[in-house]
Amino acid sequence: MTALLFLLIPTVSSVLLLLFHRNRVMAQWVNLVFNFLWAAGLFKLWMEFRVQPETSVFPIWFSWDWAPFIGSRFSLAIDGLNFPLLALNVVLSLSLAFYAIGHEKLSASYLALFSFLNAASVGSLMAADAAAFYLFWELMLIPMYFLIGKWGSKNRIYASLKFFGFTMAGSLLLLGAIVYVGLNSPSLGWHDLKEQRWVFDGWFSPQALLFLGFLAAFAVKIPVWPLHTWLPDAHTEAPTGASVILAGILLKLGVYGIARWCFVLFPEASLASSTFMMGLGVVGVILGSLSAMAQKDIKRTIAYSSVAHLGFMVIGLFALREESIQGALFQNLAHGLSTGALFLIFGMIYDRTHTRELKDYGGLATKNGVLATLFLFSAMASIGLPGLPGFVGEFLVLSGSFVTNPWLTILAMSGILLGAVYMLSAMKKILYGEVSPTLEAHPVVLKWSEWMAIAPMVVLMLILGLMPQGFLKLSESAVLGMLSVFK
Amino acid sequence: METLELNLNGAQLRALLPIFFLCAMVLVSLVSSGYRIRGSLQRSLGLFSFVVFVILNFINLPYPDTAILGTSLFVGMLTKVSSIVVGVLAAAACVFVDEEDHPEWLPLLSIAVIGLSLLVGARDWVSFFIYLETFSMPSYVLASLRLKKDGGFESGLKYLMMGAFSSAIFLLGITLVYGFSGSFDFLSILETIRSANPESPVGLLYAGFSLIVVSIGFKVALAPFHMWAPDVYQSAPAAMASFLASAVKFAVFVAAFAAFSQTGILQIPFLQASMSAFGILSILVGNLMALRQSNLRRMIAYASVASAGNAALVFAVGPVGLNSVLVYLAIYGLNIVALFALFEWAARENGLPSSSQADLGCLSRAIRGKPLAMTALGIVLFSLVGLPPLPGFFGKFLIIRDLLRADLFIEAGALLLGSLLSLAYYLKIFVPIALETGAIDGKKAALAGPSSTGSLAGFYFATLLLMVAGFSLAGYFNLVGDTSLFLR
Repeated sequence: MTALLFLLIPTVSSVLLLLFHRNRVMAQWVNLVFNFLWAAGLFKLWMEFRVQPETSVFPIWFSWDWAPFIGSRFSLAIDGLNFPLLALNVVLSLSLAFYAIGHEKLSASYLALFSFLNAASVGSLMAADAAAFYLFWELMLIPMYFLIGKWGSKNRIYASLKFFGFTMAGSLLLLGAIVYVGLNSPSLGWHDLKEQRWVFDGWFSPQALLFLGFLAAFAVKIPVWPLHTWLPDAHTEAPTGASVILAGILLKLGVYGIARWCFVLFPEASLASSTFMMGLGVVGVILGSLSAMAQKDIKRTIAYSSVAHLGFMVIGLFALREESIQGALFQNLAHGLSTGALFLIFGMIYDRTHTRELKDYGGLATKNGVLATLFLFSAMASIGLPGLPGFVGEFLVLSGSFVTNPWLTILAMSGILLGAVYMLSAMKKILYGEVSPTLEAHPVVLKWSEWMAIAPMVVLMLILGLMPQGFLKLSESAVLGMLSVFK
Repeated sequence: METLELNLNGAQLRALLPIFFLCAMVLVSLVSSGYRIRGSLQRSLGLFSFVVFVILNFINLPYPDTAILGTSLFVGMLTKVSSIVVGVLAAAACVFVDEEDHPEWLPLLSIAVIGLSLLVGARDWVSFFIYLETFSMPSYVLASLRLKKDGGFESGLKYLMMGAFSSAIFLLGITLVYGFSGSFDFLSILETIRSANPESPVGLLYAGFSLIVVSIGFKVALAPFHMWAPDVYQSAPAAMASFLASAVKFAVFVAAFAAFSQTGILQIPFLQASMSAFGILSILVGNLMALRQSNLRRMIAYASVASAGNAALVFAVGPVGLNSVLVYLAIYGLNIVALFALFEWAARENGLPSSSQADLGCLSRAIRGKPLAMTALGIVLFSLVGLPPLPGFFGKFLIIRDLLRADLFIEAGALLLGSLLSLAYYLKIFVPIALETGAIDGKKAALAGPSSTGSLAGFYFATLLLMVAGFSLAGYFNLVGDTSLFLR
C-alpha cells in the first residue's frame, strides 16, 4: 500500500494544484507542501524497504487486477535497482518546488503538469508489469511535451515535436515487443516474463527482435548515439525545471529500463549485443564531448555533456559485470544530481539575464562568488573529480568494462579528458575575465528559496562522493540477482 | 428450398423485441415528422428510441441464443453486443443532429439501425444482402439530406453510385458462390468447400468470394475503394456523417467478419492475403493523405480509411480476431462521433453554417480558453493515437496481439507505422490549441451561427461514453469470453 500511496501523492497533487489556477503564489506553496508530503512518503517507503529480505527478487508491494483481458495486472515493486532513483526523483522535485517559489512564470498548471510527470516517472520505475510500465512510460510524454512546448523558450514547438516524435517512435516498437512477449506468457508481469525464454539464434530470431524492440525505446530515451539529436533541442528549449527532471530522471529511466527489462528478459541477445552497444557508448562519449566543446550556448553544452555521460553508463551496462553495472547505476545518481544542479544554476542566472550565451556570463566569480563556487563544485562533480560522485561512477564503469573489452574502455577514457577540456574551458569563460555587460546590468542575487533549491543537491553530492559504499550496498543484491540470468 | 417457419415462438419474439420496438418507433417518428413537429422534439424522440433499443438489448443479453426464420437469422451474443454498440453510436449522433428542415432523418436513421443490427445476425448470403440494403438505402438519403448545400449533391450522388455499384458486385458474387455450392447458407457453403473434389468448380467460388470481399471493401471504404469517403464525410450533415463513419463501419466490419469466418472465406489464403494487402494499403493511403488535409472532416475521413485498414488486417488472422475487430471499431466509433460533434460546434462558433468547410484554425479559435473542451479533445485525440490508458490503446493492443499471435509481423509493423504517422496529423490539430501557437488568421465571427449547444453536448456525451466504454472493457471480456463462444 505504501508504494501505491507514494504514487498517489503526486497524482492527487497534480489534480489539486489545478484548483489554484487563479492564485499562482498559493499554488507554489501548496506544491511545496505536497513535495514535503512526498518526501515523507519516501521515508515511510525507506523504513519498509530496509526490512525487506535481501533474497526477494523485485518483490511486489501492490497489485491490482486491472486488465485481465490483456493478461496484465497493475503491480508495483521496489528493490535496490529502483529505490535510489525514486529517492533521486523526490530530491530533485523538492528542489524544484523551492525553486518555483516566487517565480512568476511557473503557474498552477505548470506545477500540476510537473506533479503528473513525477507520478508517471515513479510509476514506470516501480511498475512490475509490462503493460503498466508502458502506461507510465507513455504518460511521461504528455506532461513533458507540454512543459517544453508551453513554457519553453523561442524554438520550443520544434523541440517539443521532435521530442514527442522520437520518443513515440521508440515507444511503438516497445509496444509491439510487449504485446509479443505476452503471447505465450501466463501474464505480462515481470516475474512471469522472466521465466520465459525466447529462441536466440542470429539477429532475426524472436529474442533478438524483441530485445531490439525494448532497446529502441530505451536507447531513444537515454539517448544512445545516433538517436540523441532530440536531446540538445529539448534541453535547450525546456524550462529549467523540465531540464532538471529530463536530465535527472527521464534519461535515467532508459538506463534503468535496460537493466530491468532488456537484460533480464533477453539475456542472450544482451550478451550478443554487448560489444556493439559498448561501441555506441564510446562513440557517444567522444562525439558528445567534442560537440559539447563546440557549443556557445551553456544549456547545449550541458546537454551534450549528458550525451557523453550517458554514453559511459551504456558502456557500464553492456560490459555486463557487477562493478560496471553498479558504476552505471551510481553514475545515474551522480549525473542526476550534478547535471540537475548545473541546469538549476544556469536556470537561475537565465531568469535574470535572459541569455544562455557563454560569452555573456563572463566574470560571474566577481559578481556572485558563492554561486560561482557552487557552479565550480557541480562542474567538478560532473567531470569526475575524486571525492565527488562522478568519480566513483566513472571509475567503477571503467574498471569493470576494462575486463570485458579493454580497447573500447581505453577509447572511452579519452572521454574523461575531453570532458575536462570542455568543462574547464566553459568554467574559464564563465567564472573569470572581465565582468560582462549583461551581468553588470542584471546582478544575480539569489533568494532564500533558490538557495534552498540548490543546497540539498550539493550536500547530497558530497555525501555520495565521500560515502559511496552505502549506496552501492543498496543495489548490490539486485544487481547480482540480475546478473544471475547470464549464467 | 424448405418453407420458412414464420410464426414466432416466445423466445424468438423476445430476441426480436428490440427490432420490433424500433420498427414501431419508425412509424411514430414518421407520424411526428409528418405533423412537422420540429427540432428538439424529433431529437428527443430519437434519443429515447435508441436508448430504449440499447436497454432492451441489454435485457436480452443473458437469454440463450435464438435462431429465427429457419437458420437465416441468428440472435446470439454477437448480435446483441453489436446492436448495443450500434444503438449507442446512433444515440450519440442523435444528440447533435440538427435537421430542422428534414424531420425525416429520424425514421431513416432508425431503419438504418435496424438493418445494421440484423446484418450481424445474418446467416445466409441472401439475408445478408437484404439487411445490407436495409441500411444502405436510408444512408444514401441521410448522406445527401442537404442536397443544395456544401456540395451535398455531388457527394450524395457519389455515395449512391458507389453503393449501388458495390451492391451489384455483391449480388454477382453471391450468385457465383451459389453456382458452386447450390446454397446461400453460410454453413452449407462451408460444408461444400470441405467436401470439394478436384472436379468442383472452385473457380466460381474464388471469383464469387473475391467479389464479395471487394464489395465489402466499398462499403467500409478500404483503399483502393475509398474514393467516396472523403466527399461524403465532408459534405453530409455532421451527425449523419458521424453515423456513417462509426456505426456503419463498425457493423459492416463485424458482420463481414462473422460471415467470412463462418462461410470459409477466412480459410482461403489468397483472400486473407488480399484483405491484409487492402489493410496495409489503406493504412498508408489513409494516413499519408490525412497528413495533407487542412479541412478537418476530410482529414478525419482519410484517418478513418486508415483505421478501416487496421481492422482489415485482423481478417488475415482468421476467426479468432473477431473480438479485437469489435472492440477496436466500437471504441473508434465513439472517438469519431465525438470529433464530428466537436467540429460542428467549432464551425457554428465561427459563424459557419456547418462544419463542411471547417479547418484547423476554425477549431483553434473556437476552443481556446475552454479548458474542459480542450481536455476532452485531448482525451479523444490521444485515444485515437492509442496512448494508454485511454480506450483506444486497448483496441490497438488487441489487434497487435492477434497479429503477432498469427506471426503477421509485416501487418503489425504497418499498424505501428500507421500509428506513428497518425500522431503527426492528430498533433497538427492539437498543437495550436494546446500550446496556443500560430497566428489566428481571421477573427471569430461576432455573430455566431445557428445554435451550437447541441453539438457541444454531443461532443461531451460521446467523450463520456468513450470513457465508460474504456472502463467496461473488463466486464465485456468477462461476458463474452473468447471468440469461439461468440461465433457459434
